[in-house]
Amino acid sequence: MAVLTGAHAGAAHADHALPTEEYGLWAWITTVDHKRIAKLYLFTAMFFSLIGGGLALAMRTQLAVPENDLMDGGTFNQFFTMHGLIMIFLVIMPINAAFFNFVIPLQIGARDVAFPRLNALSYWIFLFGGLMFNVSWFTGGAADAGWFAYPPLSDDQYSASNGMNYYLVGLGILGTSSIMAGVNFIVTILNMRAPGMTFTRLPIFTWMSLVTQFLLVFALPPLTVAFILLLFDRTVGTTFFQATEPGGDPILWQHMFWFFGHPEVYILILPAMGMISDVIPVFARKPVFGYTAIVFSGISIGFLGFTVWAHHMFAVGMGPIANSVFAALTMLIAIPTGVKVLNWSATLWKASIQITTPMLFAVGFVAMFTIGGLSGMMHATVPVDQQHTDTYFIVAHFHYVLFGGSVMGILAGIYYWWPKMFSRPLSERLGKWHFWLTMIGFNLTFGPMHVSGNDGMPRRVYTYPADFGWELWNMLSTIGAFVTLLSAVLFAYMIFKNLASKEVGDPDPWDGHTLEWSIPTPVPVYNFAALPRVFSNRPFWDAKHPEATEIHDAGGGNGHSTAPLQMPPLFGPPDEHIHMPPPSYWPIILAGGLTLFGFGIIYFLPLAAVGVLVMIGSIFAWAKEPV
Amino acid sequence: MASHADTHHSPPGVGLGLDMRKLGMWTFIGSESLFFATLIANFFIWRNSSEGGLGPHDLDINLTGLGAFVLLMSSLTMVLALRGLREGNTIAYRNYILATAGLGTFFLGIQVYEFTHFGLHGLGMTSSMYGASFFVLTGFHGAHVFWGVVWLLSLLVFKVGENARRPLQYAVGVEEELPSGPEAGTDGGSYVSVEMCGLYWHFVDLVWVFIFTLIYLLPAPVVGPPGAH
Repeated sequence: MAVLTGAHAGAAHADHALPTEEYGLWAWITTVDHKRIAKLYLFTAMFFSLIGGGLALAMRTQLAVPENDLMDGGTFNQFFTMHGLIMIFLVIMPINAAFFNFVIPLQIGARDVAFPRLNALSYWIFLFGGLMFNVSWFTGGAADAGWFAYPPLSDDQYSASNGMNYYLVGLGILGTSSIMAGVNFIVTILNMRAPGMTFTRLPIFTWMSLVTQFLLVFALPPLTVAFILLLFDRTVGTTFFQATEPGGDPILWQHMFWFFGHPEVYILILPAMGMISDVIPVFARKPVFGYTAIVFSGISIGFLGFTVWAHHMFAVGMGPIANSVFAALTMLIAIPTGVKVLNWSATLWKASIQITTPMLFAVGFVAMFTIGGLSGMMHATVPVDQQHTDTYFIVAHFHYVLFGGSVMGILAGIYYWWPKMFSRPLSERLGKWHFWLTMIGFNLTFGPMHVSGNDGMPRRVYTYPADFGWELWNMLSTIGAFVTLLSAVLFAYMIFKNLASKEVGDPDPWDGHTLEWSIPTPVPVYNFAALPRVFSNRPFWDAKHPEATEIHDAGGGNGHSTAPLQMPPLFGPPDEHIHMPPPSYWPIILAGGLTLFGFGIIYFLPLAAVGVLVMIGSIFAWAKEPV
Repeated sequence: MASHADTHHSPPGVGLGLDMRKLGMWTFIGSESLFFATLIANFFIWRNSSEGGLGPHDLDINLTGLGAFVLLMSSLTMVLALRGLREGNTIAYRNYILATAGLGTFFLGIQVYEFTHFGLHGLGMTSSMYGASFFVLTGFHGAHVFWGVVWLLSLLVFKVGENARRPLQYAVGVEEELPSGPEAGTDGGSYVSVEMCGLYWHFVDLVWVFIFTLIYLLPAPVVGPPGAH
């Protein structure tokens, strides 16, 4: 610790030229600070998770007993469609974005992201797009054709409310937000690493985030095209995806959608894999096992993720050759995934493990994700998949990877980075309660779905007859859903209690390995008073332990020595002037213009023109703004 | 860089050495490539589905060929504009930017004429799959050219390139030295705003090379019975 306080104590008194934090609502609206934008993402996503979770509970209540008439089929259709979309696009993706924002610049030793205003723009577009998407509840019905919106179910004949138009425009807008954020973080990671932070020393969370950004940047444009074409089908009367004259092809939508949809699965899970790859070694109190293997398996998952989309379509009749190729590629992608599971397990092997809440969630991730991964592998086999398609077994499978995987990983990340983000850790005692409640609730909800699905219960039915033997499993699932609700309530209580406190805790509560733990809490606006200099994979740990006799440097510098290594200091003298970008209100205005444009497309085209003018005006003002 | 780290212990910097704004533009162009790739794939699927209406045989290659030539020449004028800026020749820079925007507008004019012409002869968004996919693909390309023209003209209106003396931008919050002396501007760093517009413009041209080749130059397929797609 002494290594660090030197640099920062110097910074504290020497300089009044250093930027300081502004407070108040206006400061938040105009902020370009990556740490604040991270918090905005986090809390907005938590708000949307209330809607998504509420929908899930309503559906589970409806399905608790057979022949239930709590809601009709039409409402149920809207509920499962919006539940999926909200959880994917408005909860998991933005929470991941919150971590990209908060953690990446700190881990690579940078003072902000590459384009701070663009970063704010991504957030405001996400917020407005998400709200717009939910407006459709009050305009005659939300989207109701399932989250993958297969035509002809999603055309204007079978989905007559404008809920599907909100889906297409709203998600299209959210997509632009993600593409911009992707460009931003790719440039940040490639160009803004601190001296010595080579690619072989990059923390694994940052590595997996980099892969995720490439997936976002390349997978979203085809989806945008699919949305545009379907919107033309619904509003102009083209038939790109309709079998009616002049004769398009509904299967084309499925290809375009899943060409995005499968990389999307990895967009959701890779950041969580990165989080637990950083959490596990810290609490196993040793370096991660097989750094290079984890990184390269992440990259190959990213590549292979683009080649397996049609395994979502085994039941549509693509023919034996296409089915076999996609089956083989799907089995192939299990290899890098298995490598990761092996590495996490091997990191725990013979470690002196600290059972903290983040560690519990991280280990929970490995276990639950493995179950979900194995049931996924079952579906690489075409005949099995054809039996399971559109049954509750599929629902069980993807909730084990999305909830048991992504959400568990995200919770590990939230507990792990919370002390750096909000200056004090969440309660360890209640955290363990939270973990066990989540674990029990989750398994009770989705475990029985394997059985009901295997017994033939189709997904997306709003009710079912009594004599098929599905009652017990559905009742268990519903009970599990309410246990999960209990865990969420506890978590919300912990968060409010934590935020109400003014206490400032240890800047390095976990004895961390990476650079984000080397700076004071709360983190100064400029993050690093002096840019760090990196010589190994665990720069901060090595700096704290000058007596250590081994170094871990995946770039080839691994090794032992008989004498203490005496690493050079992490920080030189602090910079005297740090210029941080000033706040800007153009991002929120530009995002407002895009939202107007979206509403205009749905209701009244001249309004869209006004939106475009607002956007162009803000772009010019943005370009002229001094930074 | 202004970090006063003693060089003895300081490991080398690890950025890619490319201005951040340009790297961002390249990444965005990568994303755009997939956008157009999907539209092109969509066009190819429906290329034979003209349903007895206007189809690949009815394209006027001469007129659109002229448009393609004009658009390619605008890439040349864009390069010359940037050269003018680097040599400090503001007049040449302005004229060439104006020429680029003018050529782009000429191309758009040809496209508007072509769209109107096809429309009058019954090819529309709903007349056949060929029509729908043709208009969506060339229409979105045209929209990109239009935005490029707006961007080019705004460079002149706001005098972006001429006032640009900003340093290469490698990292936020890290002070960098402004190029000065005889080297000022010759490293290209001062003109990144113009270069980014150029990157975009060249990309839009390149996409047209693909679209033109695939729509207009590939031999038209033999027309089968209606609905033979």
